[in-house]
Amino acid sequence: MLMKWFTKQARKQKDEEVFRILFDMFYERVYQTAYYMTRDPYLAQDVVQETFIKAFRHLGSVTDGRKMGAWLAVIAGNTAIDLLRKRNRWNGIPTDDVILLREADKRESDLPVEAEVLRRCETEELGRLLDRLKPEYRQVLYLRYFEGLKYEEISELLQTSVGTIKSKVHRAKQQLKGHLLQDQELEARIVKDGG
Amino acid sequence: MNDRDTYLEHAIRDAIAGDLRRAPNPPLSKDDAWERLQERRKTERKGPRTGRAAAKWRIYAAATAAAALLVVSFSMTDNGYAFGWISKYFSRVSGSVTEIGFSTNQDASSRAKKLPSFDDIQVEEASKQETVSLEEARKRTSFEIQLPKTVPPSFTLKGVLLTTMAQEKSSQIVLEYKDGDQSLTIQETLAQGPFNYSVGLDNEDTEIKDVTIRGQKGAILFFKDGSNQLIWNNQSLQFKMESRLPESVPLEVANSL
Repeated sequence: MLMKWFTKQARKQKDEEVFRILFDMFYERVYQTAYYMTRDPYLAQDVVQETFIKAFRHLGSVTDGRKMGAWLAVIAGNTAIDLLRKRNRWNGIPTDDVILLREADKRESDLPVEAEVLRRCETEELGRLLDRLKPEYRQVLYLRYFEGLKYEEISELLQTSVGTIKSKVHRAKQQLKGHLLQDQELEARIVKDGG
Repeated sequence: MNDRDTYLEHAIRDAIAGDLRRAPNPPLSKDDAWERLQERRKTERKGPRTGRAAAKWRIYAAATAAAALLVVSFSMTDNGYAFGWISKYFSRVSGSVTEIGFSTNQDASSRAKKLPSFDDIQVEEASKQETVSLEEARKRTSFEIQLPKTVPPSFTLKGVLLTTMAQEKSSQIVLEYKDGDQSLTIQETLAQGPFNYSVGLDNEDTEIKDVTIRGQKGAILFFKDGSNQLIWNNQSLQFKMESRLPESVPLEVANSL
């Protein structure tokens, strides 16, 4: 019944009006996602344009409007990663995987310490630490925890295996923990030394 | 999943939500971004779809939009601020970012036109890229490929990267010159109708220098990894040359195009 109504309405719609509606609805959201990925308003603006160009070309492939936001977020994320890769010659985000993962793994068995670290961590501080993650890791965390997608859905949208997605999410979380531990230990040392 | 993981996951979700809320306003207002998008789509236009495919597509698109409208609640405020960028070439510094760009044949009336007519509507197919010989590229390109008269000694043309849309002649190619590990690429893009190109650059990591290529303003960008990118345009083409060669070399190559 509902689909019939959509179809009837659709025949009356003009394509450009549909584009404009979607653009109006999702412009800020796509921009915010792009900025979350790039940390650069101008680059984010370019990502927004590319995202909508791609989205309008392939709109016919979206059959479930409820997933429109997540679909656009994936396009924006992938576009941002592509642009960052092209430009990371001057805008790279240095991340030492090995050290951070070791740091986090070392503390895996030391739950009381880590729980305390997490408890003390402010949301804003965690947001700041997200900046230090690779864009690929920020993207999977966004899709998993902000969009609330299942691993299988992320896997389908990113056209990557479920195992790879799980691994990326795990590594992203481990890196965040590593950054938290590093920062808070540094802070503790400064306090102890009276700095 | 233990409490520790749950706590972290909630904290991550809250941190991302806060992060999104704190994003600065977009450089372009919604209306200006829409116009820029329309201009870009016009340059890629290849004619409206007709027949059953168009009807089917419209149904999908409208159904999708309607469904999205039902489930998403959105603020539709225009909180951005527009900046004028109607010039042949501009270079603007804003804080730690320099934006450089080109525009051609800007249609002043287009700014007043919020939505194009139905007849203007078209949908592009996905593009694909392939490396072909120069001969093949010439047959399949919608403009005359410009070759430099001068390239560094021992550099040879290894192929032409062609970007094509379905059943369309290519409007963008990349000439790939190689000498062992060294490479020099020249991207040529046909600028049809109103045309805008801009890029934001981090001033701390990029040195930007204005140059003139055959009477046209352009810019050469020096990146921290030692590579450089020369950007300029002529009446109908936009050029982008990338290499790790000393500044004088790309300039000499560009001036020989």
